[in-house]
Amino acid sequence: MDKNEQSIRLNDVKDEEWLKIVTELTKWVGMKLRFKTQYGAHSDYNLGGNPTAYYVDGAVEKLFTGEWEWKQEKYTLLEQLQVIAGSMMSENVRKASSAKIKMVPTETEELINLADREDYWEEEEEEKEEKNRLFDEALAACSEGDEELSLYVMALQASQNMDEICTLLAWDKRKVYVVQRKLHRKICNYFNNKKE
Amino acid sequence: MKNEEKSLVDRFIDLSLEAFEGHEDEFFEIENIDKNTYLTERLNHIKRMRLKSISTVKKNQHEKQLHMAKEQIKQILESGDKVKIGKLSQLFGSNYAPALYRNLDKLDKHDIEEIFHDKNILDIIEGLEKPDKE
Repeated sequence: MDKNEQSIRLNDVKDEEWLKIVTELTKWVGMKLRFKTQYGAHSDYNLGGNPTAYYVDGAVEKLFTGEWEWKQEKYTLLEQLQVIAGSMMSENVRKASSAKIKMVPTETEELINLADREDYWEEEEEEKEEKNRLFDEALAACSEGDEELSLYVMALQASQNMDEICTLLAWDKRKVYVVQRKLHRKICNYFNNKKE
Repeated sequence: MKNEEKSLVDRFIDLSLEAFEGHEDEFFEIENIDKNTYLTERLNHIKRMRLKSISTVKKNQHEKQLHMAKEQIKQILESGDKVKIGKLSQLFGSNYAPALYRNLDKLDKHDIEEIFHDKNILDIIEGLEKPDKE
């Protein structure tokens, strides 16, 4: 699809449809930012404004200007925007991480750069592990003293998807949704309090 | 990515996305975002993008049509076909045809636009494409 065709397709999307897409994209970006990448690169200070709005507007803009192609055969409009926003987040993390790396200008620069790259990947893995550890801590803290939530967290850790959780706990989906939303709220509060 | 390969955080996000379906107000409340203001701002941004994009599409189409018209005129002038050149004179007025003949290669986009100034390029292209009536 060329740029003009892409613009015409995007211009055909009605406002009501955009509202649904933006709402879903906001939920997706908001959760990614809150639970996965809440530090440094995505702070209000770094991005110059509300981080969620920054990525939502940015993804829309990159599609309208043709900087990104809408691969319609592969993605819906929402999915394509998620791919773009996800890429923007990764790029910002990469920029923030590489800013930490100091290049040493010597004759063996190439070797040192290579070593830096390995350090970079190791650092990235370490950061991932650290984030997972923090998330485990949050789950434990938020479910403590609540029998239902403790049970749910155990099922969450042992299961791969919604159906498995339902089977394991012998709950219907509606019940799982209610408990998931409750846990989600508690974890958000937990991270908010940690920030302060 | 298969769920087996997803981290606990990713699985949690997937579950939350599913659990908050139809509960958008609750999500915005947790995120401490004023839903109406936020969505109005996003929609306004989309409208601005749409306007820019419409103007770019129109500009590109206009340039494409200008190029097509210029190429057609060039072919007619080079053919030396008096009937067709006569048609050109009809379309542009007799004053313009000799000028076009002499200078077409030297004319840049703005000159061509100036010549087409008050004319509909699509009409010109259509006019030039019409079969000749002998």
